[in-house]
Amino acid sequence: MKPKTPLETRYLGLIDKNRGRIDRLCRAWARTSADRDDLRSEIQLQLWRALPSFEGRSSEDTWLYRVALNVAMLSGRREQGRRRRNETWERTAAAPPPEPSPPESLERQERLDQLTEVVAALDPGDRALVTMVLEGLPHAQIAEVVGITANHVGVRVHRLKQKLARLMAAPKEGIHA
Amino acid sequence: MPDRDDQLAELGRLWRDQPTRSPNVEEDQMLTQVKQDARSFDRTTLWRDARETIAAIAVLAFMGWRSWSEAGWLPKAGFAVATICMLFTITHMLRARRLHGRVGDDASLVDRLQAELHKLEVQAELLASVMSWYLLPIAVGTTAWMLALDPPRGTGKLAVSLMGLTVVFGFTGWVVWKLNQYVLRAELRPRIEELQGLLEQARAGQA
Repeated sequence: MKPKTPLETRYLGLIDKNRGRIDRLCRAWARTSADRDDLRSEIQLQLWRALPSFEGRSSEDTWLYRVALNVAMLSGRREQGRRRRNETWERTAAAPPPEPSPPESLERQERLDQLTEVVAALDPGDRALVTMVLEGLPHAQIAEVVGITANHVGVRVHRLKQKLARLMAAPKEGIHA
Repeated sequence: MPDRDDQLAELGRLWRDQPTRSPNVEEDQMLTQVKQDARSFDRTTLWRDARETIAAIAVLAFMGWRSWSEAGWLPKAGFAVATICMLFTITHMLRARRLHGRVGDDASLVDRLQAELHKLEVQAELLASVMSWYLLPIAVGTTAWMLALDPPRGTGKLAVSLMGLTVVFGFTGWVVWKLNQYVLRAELRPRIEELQGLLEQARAGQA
C-alpha cells in the first residue's frame, strides 16, 4: 500500500475526528439517507479541496463548519427538499435497532426524531445557528462561522431557545417553524 | 432564564449523543474516491474554460486563413473588423468574470452568500445585455468579414446581401436572445431571490 502524504494523513484525521459532527449536520440538512450520503460526500470533497489552503487563521472547528455549512446551504439540497416536501423526514437512527429497545430508549429516540424534525423545519439561517448551538460551539465561534457579531448571535440564540421550547412542546404534526 | 438554558443543554446532549453512522467504506477507499471526485471537478472546470477558448481560436483561425488566402486588402480589413468585435466580446466577458469577487471555500456564510449573489447578479446582467456585448458585435464583425471576403458588385447587390445577412443574423440573434432571457427568467432570477432570502436569514436582523 502506498504511504500516505502528510496532507492525506491530516485529512483522514480531520474526517475521523469530526465524523459525528458531519453526520449530524447532514441529518439536519438532508431529508433522506441517499441525500445525506450525497451531502456527506460533497462536504468531504470540499474539505479535501479546501484543506491545502487552511492556514490556521481560524480554529479547525470554525474552518470545518464554514466549509460544511457553505456546502449544505449552497448545494442542491433545497431543490431536492422542494421536490420531496411531501415525503416524511427520514428517522435519525442510521439503522433500526435489531432487538426491542427498552422504553426509555424508545422515548429518547422519539425525542431525538422530534428534535431533528424541529431543526429541519427551521429556515436555513436559524438551522445553521441551531446546529452549531446544539454542538456546543461558543457564541464567538458561531459568529465567526456565520460572519455576524457575537452579540447578534446571543440575541438570535435567545430567540431560538424560545422557538425550540415552543416547537418541542408542540404536538408532532404541529411543527411549522 | 435557567429553564430554557437547561432545556437547550439537554437538547444539546441528546443531539450530540445520537448514534454516529459507521462509515460504509474503508478509509483508503474514501480517500481514493474523494481525490477522484476532486480531479473530475477540476477537469470539468478546466474543460469548460478550454472549450470557449478553443472555439474562439478555431473561428478566428478559420477566418484568418480564408482572409489571407484571398488577394487584396479588403478581406484582411474584414478580418480585422471581425477580430476587433470578437476581442470586444471576450474582454467584456473576462471583465465581468473578474468582478465575481471570489471567496474561499472557508469564507463565513454571509461572505460566501454575498459572493455567490454577486456572481449571479453579474451573470444576470450579462444575460440581460447579451444583445449589446455579444450578439451585435459578432453580427457586425461576421457581416463585415463576409462582405469583404466576397464583395457584391454594384449597390443593388450590396443592399440585397446586407439585407439577407441582417435577416439571418437578426433571426439567429433573436432566437439566442430569447433563450438567454428564458434562462434569466426561469433560472437565474429565482436563484437570486433564493440567495437573497438565505442572506437575509443568515443576517436575520443585523444592521
